[in-house]
Amino acid sequence: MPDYNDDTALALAVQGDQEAFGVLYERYVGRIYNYVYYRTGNHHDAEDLTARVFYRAIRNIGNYQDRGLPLSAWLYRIAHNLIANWHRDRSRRPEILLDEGLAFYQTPEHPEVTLLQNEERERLLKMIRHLPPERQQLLILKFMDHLSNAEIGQVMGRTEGAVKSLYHRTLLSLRNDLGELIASET
Amino acid sequence: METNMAKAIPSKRDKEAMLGELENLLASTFELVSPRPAYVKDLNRRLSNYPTPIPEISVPRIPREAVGIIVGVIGGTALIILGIRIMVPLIASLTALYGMRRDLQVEEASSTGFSDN
Repeated sequence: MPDYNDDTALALAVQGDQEAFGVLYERYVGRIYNYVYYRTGNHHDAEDLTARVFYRAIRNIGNYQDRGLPLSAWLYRIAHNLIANWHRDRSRRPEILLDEGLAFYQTPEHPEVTLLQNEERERLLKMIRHLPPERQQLLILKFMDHLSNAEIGQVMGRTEGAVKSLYHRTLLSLRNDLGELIASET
Repeated sequence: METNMAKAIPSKRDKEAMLGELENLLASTFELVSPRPAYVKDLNRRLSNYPTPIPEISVPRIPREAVGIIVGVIGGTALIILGIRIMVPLIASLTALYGMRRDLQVEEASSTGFSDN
């Protein structure tokens, strides 16, 4: 596989070079997969939707217009739209959610500690999945992809200031939700 | 009483500390997950066999305002030309009529014995 940088690979992929598209695929598949996984909550749908993102990308790469945004912004937007459709379809035909237990990681710590941490994480993730899609997107891009507010703004089509403000409101909202949950449990 | 209330309402520093804790919790929550290597490989293979779409020839886009201006100029020119084409025969006809009337007046004057001189 040639070692193109993003710009070269993209320029070649736009011209129909499949090898160049393969380079981009290998570079971004993990990030897109993670994004989709945290938005859907299970590996099965994450695999299905990640595949759809790249199929849509390969179909439309010939019409890609460079607007000064990174390629990842384009891919995340495709993913965001497909996930929105996926959620809409699911709400139309309700089904029993088979929760895989998000983010259950085996760590070398003491099992009880790991279990408590996992429970806490799972609780938080469930709470995050009840947030509006834009807020979920923001948190995933920030904490999973470690993007800056400016980069998140490019993906979401918002200004850096608007992202900062949305992030602050999201944190406050999550803090209140967590507080209510703790109060209801005690 | 006041001290109890002060304890009940979290200070700005407390709020910031709580948000900081929440951020730490979020950072530890979103851990990277890896897709199955077999899935990644299989999808790559399927994508490399996917028929490459022919890139569309990009037609230069003309802004809507420019189209409006061009249409306006062409339409205006056409209207002016049409107006001139209508006005020219009309003026010619009027001139001819005026000339005929003048000739008739001269003839009438000469037949009745009156003349301008």
